Amino acid sequence: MWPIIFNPFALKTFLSVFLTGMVVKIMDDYMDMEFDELIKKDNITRILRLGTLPYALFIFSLACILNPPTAISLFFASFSTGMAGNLNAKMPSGLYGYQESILTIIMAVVLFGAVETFSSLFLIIAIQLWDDYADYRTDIYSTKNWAFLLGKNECLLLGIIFFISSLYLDFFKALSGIFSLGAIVNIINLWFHNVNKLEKPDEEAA
Amino acid sequence: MIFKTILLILILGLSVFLLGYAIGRRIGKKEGFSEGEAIIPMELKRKLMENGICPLCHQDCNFLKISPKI
Repeated sequence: MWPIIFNPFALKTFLSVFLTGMVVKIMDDYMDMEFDELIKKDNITRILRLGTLPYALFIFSLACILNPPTAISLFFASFSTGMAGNLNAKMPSGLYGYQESILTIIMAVVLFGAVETFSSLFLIIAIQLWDDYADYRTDIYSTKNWAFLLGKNECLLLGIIFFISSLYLDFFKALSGIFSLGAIVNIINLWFHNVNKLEKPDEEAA
Repeated sequence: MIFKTILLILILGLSVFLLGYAIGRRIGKKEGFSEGEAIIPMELKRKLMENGICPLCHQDCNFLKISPKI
């Protein structure tokens, strides 16, 4: 344990994964902003408002300072999986979702190598599948939920397989990703709890 | 090295399990649906014969009035 704590590389990698996770969460909320507004779901953009983009860029710059390959490969992976959710939709770039997704993965392989890219990609897919599995009951309005498309248990099993694959390729990054996921979810829940308490003190007291 | 081998075995094992589970569930669902389609008409008729009450609209067939059992 101590070698990991006092190893600056490991610490930098962990923090880089954590900060990139925050950025990905902000990006995800930004993309779902209108949908979450409709179903009255908590969304970070409701708190950050116009500051969403500057804060996301600032946090991502910090992640890039700490460990550029990890941060950028994770971001590329989340970008490509996000685009893969709208395979046949035409994106603002003029390309289809799957084309953007494939181009991003090829770019990441060329820039960072196959191991770095695929460990990040598998980790992000595992987290996405876990998130869909956890949202199975609450996500009844969404048609993009993999737990509906594949089946609940298939989604969980596939998530586990992708996580172990990521663990196989890059042990420390995969573990950092899972710890960061837990930390980010708890921090954001706590944050929303405090914000909601400040916004609606009467309802909280009742 | 041993750790990586264990992970590889886990990945392969889980993949095979997932494949079997997914195929089995889909086949089971189709079989269950066709079985249900075959059983339900007979089951409904059996209930109608036993009670004299339509299991769909709950009408009492002997007295042509809505059953109090609703």
